[in-house]
Amino acid sequence: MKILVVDDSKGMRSIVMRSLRQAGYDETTFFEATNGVEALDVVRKQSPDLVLSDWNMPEMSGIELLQALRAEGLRVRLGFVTSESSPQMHELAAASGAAFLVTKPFTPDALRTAIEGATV
Amino acid sequence: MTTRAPEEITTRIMLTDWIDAIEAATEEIGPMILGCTAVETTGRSDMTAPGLAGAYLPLVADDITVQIGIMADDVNRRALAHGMLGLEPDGMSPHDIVDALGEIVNVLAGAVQKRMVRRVPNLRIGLPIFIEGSVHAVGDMQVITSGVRMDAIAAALLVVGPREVKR
Repeated sequence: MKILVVDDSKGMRSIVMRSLRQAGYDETTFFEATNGVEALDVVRKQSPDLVLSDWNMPEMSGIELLQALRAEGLRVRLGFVTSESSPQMHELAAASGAAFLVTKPFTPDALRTAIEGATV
Repeated sequence: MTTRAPEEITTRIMLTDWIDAIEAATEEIGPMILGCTAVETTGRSDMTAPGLAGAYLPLVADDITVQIGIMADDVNRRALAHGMLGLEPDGMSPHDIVDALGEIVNVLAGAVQKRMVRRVPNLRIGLPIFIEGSVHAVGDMQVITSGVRMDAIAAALLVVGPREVKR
C-alpha cells in the first residue's frame, strides 16, 4: 500500500506515519508533502492508494488539494487529519468528496477505523 | 416585569471566556499529546513573563479575532517538544522545537474551537507562528496569561484580544 502524508509540520507527519505503523500499516510505502502543491505533484507521479492531509497549510490547503485532485479527475481516496472540527468543516469535507475526517489528537485505532471504512 | 425587545438582547464574550476555554482545552489534550498525567493551572496575569518564547495562532470569526498561544523557557520548550515528538531534548534542532510548539498550539486551538463554536459560529483557525519575546497588547486589546504545569513541564497559556465583545 502507498500512503501520502500531507502536513506542513514535519513532527505531525512523523506522528501520523508512526500511528499508521502502530495501527498495522507497516507494509506501507510512505510519501510526504508539506502542502497541497507538493502533494498534487506526488499524486500525479506516485499514484498513492490513500492521501492523509492536514486542513490548514500554506500555499494550498487540504480542501483546496482535494478540490484540485477531483478537478483533474484523480480519484485517490483522501482523508483529513486536522485539529479543526467544526460542523461546517465536516460538511465541506463531505461535499468535496473526502473519505473521512479524523480530529487531532487521535489514536492509532481511531485512524485505522477511519481508513477502513468510516465516512465523514 | 420588563422584557427586552429582541434587538436589545446581546451576548457578551469576555476575554476571560477564552482563557477559561484554553485552560480546559489544555487539561483535555495535555495527557493525549504530551503523555502527562496531571495538568494544573498556577495563576493568571495580564502580562507575559520575560525570557519566554512560544507559538501563537489566530482564532477568527466575523466579528472577533483573538490570538492564543503557549510559551515557555528553553528547558520547558524542549520538554514540550519531547512530549509531542518523542525526540530527545539534546538531539533537537531549533526547527524541531518550533515545529512541535506550532503543532501543540494547533491542536490546542482545535480544542478551544470545539468549546467556543456554539457561542462564536464560523470560528476558524489560522496558521501558527513562533515568537521569541514578550507579547504586548495595543489599543483596546488585552493580554491574559495563565501559568500551567503538565507534570514537570511549566508553560504559560496566552490569549490576546478585546476585553469584551457584544454580539
